[in-house]
Amino acid sequence: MKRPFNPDVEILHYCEHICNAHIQVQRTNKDTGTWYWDYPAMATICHDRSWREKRASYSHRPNSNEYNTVLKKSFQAIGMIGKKPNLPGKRYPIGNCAEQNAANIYMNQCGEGDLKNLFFSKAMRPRTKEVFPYCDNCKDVFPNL
Amino acid sequence: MAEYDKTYQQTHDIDWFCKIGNTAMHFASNGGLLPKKVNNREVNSHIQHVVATMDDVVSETDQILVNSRYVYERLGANESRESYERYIESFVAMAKKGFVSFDRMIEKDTYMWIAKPKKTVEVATDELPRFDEDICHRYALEGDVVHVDCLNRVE
Repeated sequence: MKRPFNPDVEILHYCEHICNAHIQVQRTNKDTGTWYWDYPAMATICHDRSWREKRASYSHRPNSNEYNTVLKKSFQAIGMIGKKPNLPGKRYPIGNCAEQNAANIYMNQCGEGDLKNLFFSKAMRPRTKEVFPYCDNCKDVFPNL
Repeated sequence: MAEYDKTYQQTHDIDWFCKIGNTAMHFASNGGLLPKKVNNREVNSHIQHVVATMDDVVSETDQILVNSRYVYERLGANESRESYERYIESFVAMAKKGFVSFDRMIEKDTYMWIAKPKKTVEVATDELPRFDEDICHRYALEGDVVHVDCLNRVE
């Protein structure tokens, strides 16, 4: 079966979009708070099992007011949102990761309430298009990573 | 003057700039913390805009040196030529504007040069923060790499 989209191609396109927007916004000197004034450190795409729905996002500060309740509960099982959990492995403050932000948008906009139904593209650094491994917070929270 | 907060620095890949001696340098933070001297959002954003609007001073790509050995080592043996070109693109763009361009190595929290002009060229701005060259050579510069924690000792 032909996939409606290929997540690993989509993430490359998304990173190219970020790079183009970044260059344009810095040249035209819009408000420095504009999206992509600085490159995000990481980007990813969250999608469903059948590759029909997708939402892209990037690493940024957590805003716990906007979290989907299922996702928030899962975050709180490993630690405090905005803080690095005191657990072994490669970890960042909870809520910072591109995967966590993409999943939150996906769950809120697509009405998804089960973390088992979330799948992800590769995690990519927009500037260089390097692929990075998922962190241990994300592996703990998302069953398909 | 507002600093970048720690979360913003950790979640972004910020371009920052300085001069060490007469050499203009560009750094890609890759989620690392900026040296204290350049951690000023207003000033750095202004410099980013100035650099973004600069014309290239080196027009030919063959006049740019690329640290290919490091890039291939970083990307791994299985990576394609396309991956290599994608990786170096933004660093070569900075080198064409006259900067020695560095990327941060996450594991070591140090910066490695990726691209630079073959001949030193004058960068058309005097707004870059300056670090003392002698002290930098003593503490922060070691061969191809720059140690950021040491730059914090250099005023």
